Formats: sequence, structure tokens, C-alpha cells
Amino acid sequence: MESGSRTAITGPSGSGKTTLLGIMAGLEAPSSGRVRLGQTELTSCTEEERAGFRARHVGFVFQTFHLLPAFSALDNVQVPLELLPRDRRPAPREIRARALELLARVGLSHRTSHLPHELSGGEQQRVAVARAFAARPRILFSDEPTGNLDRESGVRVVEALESLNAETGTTLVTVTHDLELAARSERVVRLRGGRLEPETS
Amino acid sequence: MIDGFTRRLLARELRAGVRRIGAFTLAAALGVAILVALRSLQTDVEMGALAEASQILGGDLRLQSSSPFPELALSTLDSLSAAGVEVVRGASLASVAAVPGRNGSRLVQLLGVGPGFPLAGDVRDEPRGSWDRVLAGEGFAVGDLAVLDQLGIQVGDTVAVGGLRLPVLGSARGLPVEPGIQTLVGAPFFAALSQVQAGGLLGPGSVARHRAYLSPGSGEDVDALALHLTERLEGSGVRVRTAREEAESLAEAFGYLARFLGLVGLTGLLLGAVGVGSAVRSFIADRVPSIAVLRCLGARTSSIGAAYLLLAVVLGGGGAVLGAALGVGLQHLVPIIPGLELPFALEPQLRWGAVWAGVGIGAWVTLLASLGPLLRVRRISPMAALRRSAEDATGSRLEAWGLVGALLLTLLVVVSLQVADLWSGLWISLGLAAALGALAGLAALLAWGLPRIVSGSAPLAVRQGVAALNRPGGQSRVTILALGFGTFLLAGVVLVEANFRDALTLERERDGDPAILFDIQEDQVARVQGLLREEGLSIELLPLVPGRIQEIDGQPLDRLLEGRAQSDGWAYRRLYRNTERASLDPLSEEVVAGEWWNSSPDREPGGPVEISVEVELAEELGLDVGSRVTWDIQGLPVSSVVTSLRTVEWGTFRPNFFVVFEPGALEGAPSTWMGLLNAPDAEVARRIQAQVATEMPNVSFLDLTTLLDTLEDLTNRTTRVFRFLTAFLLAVGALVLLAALLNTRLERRRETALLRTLGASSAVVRRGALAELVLLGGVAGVVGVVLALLAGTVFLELAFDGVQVIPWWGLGAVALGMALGAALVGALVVGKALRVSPMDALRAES
Repeated sequence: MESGSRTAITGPSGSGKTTLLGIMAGLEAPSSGRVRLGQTELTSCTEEERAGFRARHVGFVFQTFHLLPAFSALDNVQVPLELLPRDRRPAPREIRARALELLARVGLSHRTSHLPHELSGGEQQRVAVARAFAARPRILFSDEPTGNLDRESGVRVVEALESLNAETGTTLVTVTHDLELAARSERVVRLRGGRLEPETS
Repeated sequence: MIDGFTRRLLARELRAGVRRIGAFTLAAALGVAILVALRSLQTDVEMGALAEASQILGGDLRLQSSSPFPELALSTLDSLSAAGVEVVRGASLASVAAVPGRNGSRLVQLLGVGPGFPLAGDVRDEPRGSWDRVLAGEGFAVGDLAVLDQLGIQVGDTVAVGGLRLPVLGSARGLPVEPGIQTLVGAPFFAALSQVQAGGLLGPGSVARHRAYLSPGSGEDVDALALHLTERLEGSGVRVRTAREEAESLAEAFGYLARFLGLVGLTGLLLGAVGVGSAVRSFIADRVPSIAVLRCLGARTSSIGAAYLLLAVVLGGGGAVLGAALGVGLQHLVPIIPGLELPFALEPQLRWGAVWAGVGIGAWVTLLASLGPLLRVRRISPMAALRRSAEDATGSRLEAWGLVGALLLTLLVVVSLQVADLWSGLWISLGLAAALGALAGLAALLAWGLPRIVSGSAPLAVRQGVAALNRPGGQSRVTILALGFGTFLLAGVVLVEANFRDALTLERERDGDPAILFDIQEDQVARVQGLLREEGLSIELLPLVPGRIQEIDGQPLDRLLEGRAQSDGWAYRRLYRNTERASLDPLSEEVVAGEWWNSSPDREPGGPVEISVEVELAEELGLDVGSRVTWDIQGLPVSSVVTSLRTVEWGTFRPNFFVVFEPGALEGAPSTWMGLLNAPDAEVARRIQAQVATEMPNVSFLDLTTLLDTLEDLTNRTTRVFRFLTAFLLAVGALVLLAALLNTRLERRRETALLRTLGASSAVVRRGALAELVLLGGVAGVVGVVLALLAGTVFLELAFDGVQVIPWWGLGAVALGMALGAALVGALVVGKALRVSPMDALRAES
């Protein structure tokens, strides 16, 4: 995948989409083969090293949002910045400012101190999008980002995702059933039974 | 209502229910265990005491008088003896044991007994045969060999008790115990009554209690004999007591202790029940979607509600049964506690009454605590399956208040039954509810306030910990409540103990080396004063003149006592040890009404003598300035008039009196003398003690540091009991903590997986979890300490001189200990949840 490109992975349930995503993001080690992100050979890293790599370079958006339940919206967006290694971590005031700015970009300035269970599904997912971009990742993986949302909320999430992506030039990999969403990517990869089908673009 | 569907739903939910709620019921079970164990033991003690009542008393009947037996009693005893009733004489008095030629002394209880004592039960003497030698007048037996260690001697060595110098021949167990505080204050020393008599310890003015033990032989009616003796000896100052009465009062004394300790068990049960209630709430909250789906599929509210209600009954009842079983086990462990010496054999038996009471109370309290969330099940709409907002059906206000009312009423009833008194029950329930309410309030305040105080710039781990205090379904507040209550008690004990010890230390640090000399005979007064003059010291010696009240304002004693219960008229019946004194003791007395001795010359000569009465006693007797009291002093009537009322500070070690006569009023009355010696240092005190012991062996010399040692010993014993109770409540708190952590295990795994996915190192995850646990324990610690300071201040203000010292280090250690303890206990559960793969975050949604 080219840096800055947008790729969609589609396929029926059980075809291996999530496994592929997990391996690409360094969440799981493949039983064979190699994964390289930028200059880093993920397959030869330990789990702790991969965690460090994710903190610096990788962002995530999940189907079920996965916000930290005890943290406010603002706290959730701040977390990736606080996980950066000390030499790259901005000052606390700057972390807060950036998190507030991202929440404003996804239209949630008025919901910063709310806990996840006090937010609607669409709002939670927009917090998750803001969180995904907080540490300015080089690559962002999203797994069915609109799968749990109604159409209107889904549209707003996709708009937020795309506008932030356009601005930061982050490489975007999206797993989705939604063919409309897949069609907005530059490249669509189809999986079937754990194997790639010939590409269309 | 219980249809097939209900049964199957119950069966399906049982496993999940046990997993989610079971651990909390264990905490409640601990409370039930204590209740059952104590109630069973109480019955064991009652039965054991009654079965061996004669052994506890030393015979079937006992006569006792605080002055020598009058002629009437002596002749009655003689005729009974002639009629075949076994009679043994005895006497008991507080005295001082010292080793001739050595320093140090102990306050002891000297018991003189005649040949044939005891009339019932077996004496276990060590070495064998030594008891017979004691009865033959050859030496002492001690009730407990520990006192010899304290005196620094061994069996065979000679010791001086009162004026008796005899060797200690061995120890004797299985003998009647002295009731109440005397056993705690003075170790028992047994000697032949003839020796005690010969030592001059039973003469006029002595503080001894004179006794006779009777056994009418088998088949004779003890109660009839007791009644006959009571009637015959009425008004003679001789009290008759049957073995049954003695056994009952012993059982009653244990009953008080058991009831008080049971309150702690009850508190444990309450804390556990609050935990169960909170666990049921979070369990039901999780079940809302599936209950809604069941409703969509056509299940009736009543069937679903019944299944969950039954689940609560099964879990609460199961916990209570488990607790009862644990309690029975505990009951059987008690008799093998080393050092537990009872005057009868304690045989633990299964006491079904106690078991059912424990199971009933346990099941009811836990069910009541979980009823609120259970009632919510009825209101879950099928719409909740489609729309999340439909699930927030809040309960009606009436229902909520009804539940609170039922809980408070249950608390009142259970506590009142526990202490067997409605008023005490009301006050204790109020106190308990207030303490729990205050803890819950403080905990909620901290949980609400901390996230607002801790700014966004605080380290991630700290914010994680603070945020977790409000983790949805995390039961943090219940955990803080349970841990906080244990801390509250622990900190309270630390605070009160520190103040008590501070008072003891202050006494010790007073200048000089105070000692009390007593049992000084009339003819020894001049010699004692001379001896002290040689040392350049002086002492005020006061006569002790025993006397009883004969008339108040012209009303004879029988009239005054009319319509009063035996226990009620103590102030009228008791033997007073009065003194005469020219001046007030400025350190401990203050006149609050009337005037101290009227020395004006226009006083009517030959009129009644003047007395000063302690103010609370005056209230008890209905006396005021101007009241007239006639005393019976060794058979002679002495008229007196109250000219002043005084307050007395009894807490000091100064010789204090209820009634003080004007100087000269008691001249000629038979008396012994006592006085407070203020030696400038220990060296001088030792010299005086040695000289007194050589010249006047009957005079007792009690170094006050000895008394302080005894008090310190008593403090240690009491604190040990409280520490045990505290440890029990802390165990309940730890169980609640574990249960709450087990309940959030899945959530914690999810969170950890997510943090790992976002790139958190395992160190970051560990720090966050640690911060949460430390904060949980720390908040509980702080809340408990704060409440202990409030409650302790009130208690010390009421019971002592207020708070003199605040042991900040000790209290700080308690709070810190809670934080570390919670981290340690929590790590057992949380550690595993932290070892998850980040991939779980992705998988969780598929």
C-alpha cells in the first residue's frame, strides 16, 4: 500500500478480514510471511516493541467504538497522545488543546466532559475518530466504522474520517461490508476464504 | 407464577448469577457465621453453666456478707450443720502480694477457704496433692501460675499476701471464680481460712467478704432451703445465693459479651448484603437487553421477575446456609482456644435455634438488599430490545421509600433482638445507619470530587485510577463502604487506645513514686507516721469505718426499700466505708452545694454530726443539704446531717469516698487506716516498703505503678478483642473488594486489550490498574479515618476528658495500610486480566 492511499477490504463474514487487519496493524503475529510498515519489520518485533510502534504510528476505529468507559470524551481523545514516548509527547496543555480541537472538528465541542454511556452511538464513533487521529498516525485502520450506526450518523462519521484524512495524508485501511463506503476508496481488495480475489479499482 | 419457563430461566441464569453475585454473598456469609457461632456458644455456656452450677459456686448455696456473720447467721449455720447439711466457711478480700526482700508487688484476690472446700466439682491441683496441703494451712495455691512469673518467683518460694507469709505450693484449677472485674484485676491466691483469720485480715474494719458454702445433700430441695435462709436472715446483711442464680448470672455476663460481639457480625452481614444488592443491580442492568428480547418473544413479566427473584433467594439463602455451617465450625473451635479457662466444661452442640435464626436473618437481609433492582425487572419494556433509551425505566418514589423503610425497620428489629432491648436497639441502629450513611456520603463526595480536582495534566495512570472510581457497574462505592467501615473501627481503636495510654503515661510521669498503704491497724498509725518522719515525709492517714444506712429523714430502711427490686436499692443496702477528714482534696473534689464543715460556735452541741455526700449518690438516695441520715456503725446508731454535696473525680488514683464525716465524728469507732504516700523517688519508696514489710507485715503497700501495670494489662486484653473484631470486618471488606474486582474482570480485559491496541506498553497498563486499587483502598482509608476522628472525638468527650492526643502516625499508617492492602489483595484478581492480547479488542465485536 502506498503512503497516503485509501484502501477498502471487503468480503463475506468469516473470510478473514479482521485477521488480515490485525496482522497488518501488528496486533497479531502471522504464522508465516512478513509485515512491513514504513521502515519497520513488524514480524520481527516483540509485542512490547509493536505496542510502542502502534502508539507512534497507528490509529484505530472499531465497529463498536471501544471508548474507555470511565473516561470522558476529552480524556479518550487525549489517551493516544499520552501514550507517545516521552521525547515525542507534547506538553499537557498542548495535548488538551489538540484533543479539544479534534473534538471540535468532529462536531462535539459541546460534549467534551461526557462519559461514553452518556453519548449516542454516532457521537461515540466520532469521538473514536477524533481519538484515532490524535497522535497523527501514519496509518489508520478502521473496522466497519459505520456498521453499528444508522445512515445519517454513518454519513457524519465518514465525513469526519475523510476530512481529517485529507488534511493529514494518513494512509487509510477500511474493512467494510458497505459497498458504498468501499467505493469511496481508491482501491478495493476482496477476500474470500482467506484469499485475495483479483482487484478492481 | 413459577412455571416451567421460570424454572428453566432460573437454571440458565444460576451459573452466571453465582459468578457475578456469589462472592458478595460470601461476605454476607461471614457475618452470618459470627452470629450463628456466638448464639450457639451463648446456649452452650448457659447449658454448661446450669449443668455444673454447683461447681461454679463451690456448693449448692452460698451465704455472703461484707461484715463478719452476725450471731443469728452463725447459730443458723450450726443448726444446719447438725442437721446434716455440709457447711464450709470462707472469705475473700483484695490484697497485695509481694516477695519478702524484693521489690514489686501485685494486686491479688486472697481467698480463705475451710476444710472440705469446694463442696462440688473436682479441683485440678498441680502438683497433685498440693490442694490438701493448702487446706491444711501449709501454704498458698494460685489460680494461675502466670502470677508467679510476674512476681519473679517459682512454686516453693515464699510470698507475703496481706500479713501471711507462706510458700506457694502449686496451682489449683476448677475452683469457683470471683465474678466480674475482680478476676481481671487480681489473680486469685487460695489459703486456709484459719491462716487468713490468724493473720488478722478478717477483723473489724476489714474489707473482706465473709462467706459460707452449703450443700444440703442429694434429694434435698435447695430452693426451699434458700428461701428459708433468706427469710430468716433478712436485715442481717447476709445475702443468700443459689448455684442456679450464680450460673445464670455468669451466663448472663457471657450473654452481654456475645450480644455485643454479635453486633459486629451483624454489621458484617449488612456490609455483605449491601454488596449483594449492588451486584444484583449491575447484573440486572446487564440483563436488560436479553430480558427485553424475552419480553418481545412473549415471556410474561411475572415469569421473568419470579425467575430473578428466585435467583436472589437461592443465592441469599445459599450464602446464609454456608455462613451458618461456617458458624457451627467456628463454635466448635472456641473450646480449643489456648488459655480459655472456664469454670465448667464447654461442650459445643448443634444449636438449631441459633442456626435457623442466623439463616433467617442472613437470607432476609440479603434478599431485602437486592429487592430494589429485582423490582426493576418488571418495568423493563420490550422496546428496550429496539431502542436503548427505553431501558431506563426508573422506579417509583413510593417503592424506593418503602424499601428504605423496610431496611431500616429490619435493622431496628434485628439489632434490638441482638441486644435484647428496644431502646438500646434504637440507638445502636441509628448509630449504625448514621455511620454507614456518613461513609457512603463521604465516599460519594470523594468519587465525585476527585475527577474534578485531578486535572487533565495529571499522569495517565492517576487519571485512570480516579476515573475508575466512577466505573459504570464497578461497585466502587460499595467497596469503599465495606473497606471504609473496617478502617473506621480500626482507626477508632487506634485513636481511643492512644488516648487511654496517654492518660496512663501521664499518671506514670507524675513526680515521685506514689503508693497506697492500707490495712493499717489503729495501734500502728503512730508507727507508720514515725517511720515516714524518719524519711522526712508526711502522710495523711484516713480511718476506714464500715457502716450501713439505718434511716433517712426518719424513715427506716425497710420503708425506704418498699416496692424496690433487689437490684434497685444498692445505694441503700451497700456497706459504706466512710472516713473523716478536715479538708477537701483539692485535686479531686469540689463542693457544689452547701458548705464544708461549719465550724461556727453557735452550733448546737450534741446534735447530729455533719457529713458531705458525693453528688450522684445523693441523687440516688434522694438526699439534699439538710437531709438527716442515721448510720449503723458496728451496731451503734450515729445521726448525721448532710451539710454539703461534692463532685468527686473517681478516675484519679487518690483515696476517694462517697461519704466523708466531719473530723472527730468517727473517733472511737473500730477502723483500719489508709493513706496515700508520695515518695520522692523509687529508691525511697522501696526503703519504706521493705521497712513496713518487716515491722508491720499485715500492712499492705501497693505501689501505684503496679496498679498502672494492671490497668495496662486490662487495656491490652480489651484492645486485643477489638483488634480481632476489626480484623473480621476488614476480611468482609476484602471479600467485597475481591467480589467487585471479579465482577469487572471482563470489562477490565476489554479495557486492557483496547489500551494495548492503542499502543500502551504493559507497564502503562499495570500502573493504571495499580493506581485504581491504591485509590480505592486509599479513599476507603481516608474516609474511615475521618469518620473515626469524628466519632472518636464524641466518644472521648463523653467517656473521658476529650481528645488529648491524635495519633497522626498511627492513623496515617491505617489509611496507607488500606491503600497498600487493597493493591495487594486486588493484584490477585486484576493481574490475570492484564495479560490479554490486543487482538481481543477487535475480536470482541465479532
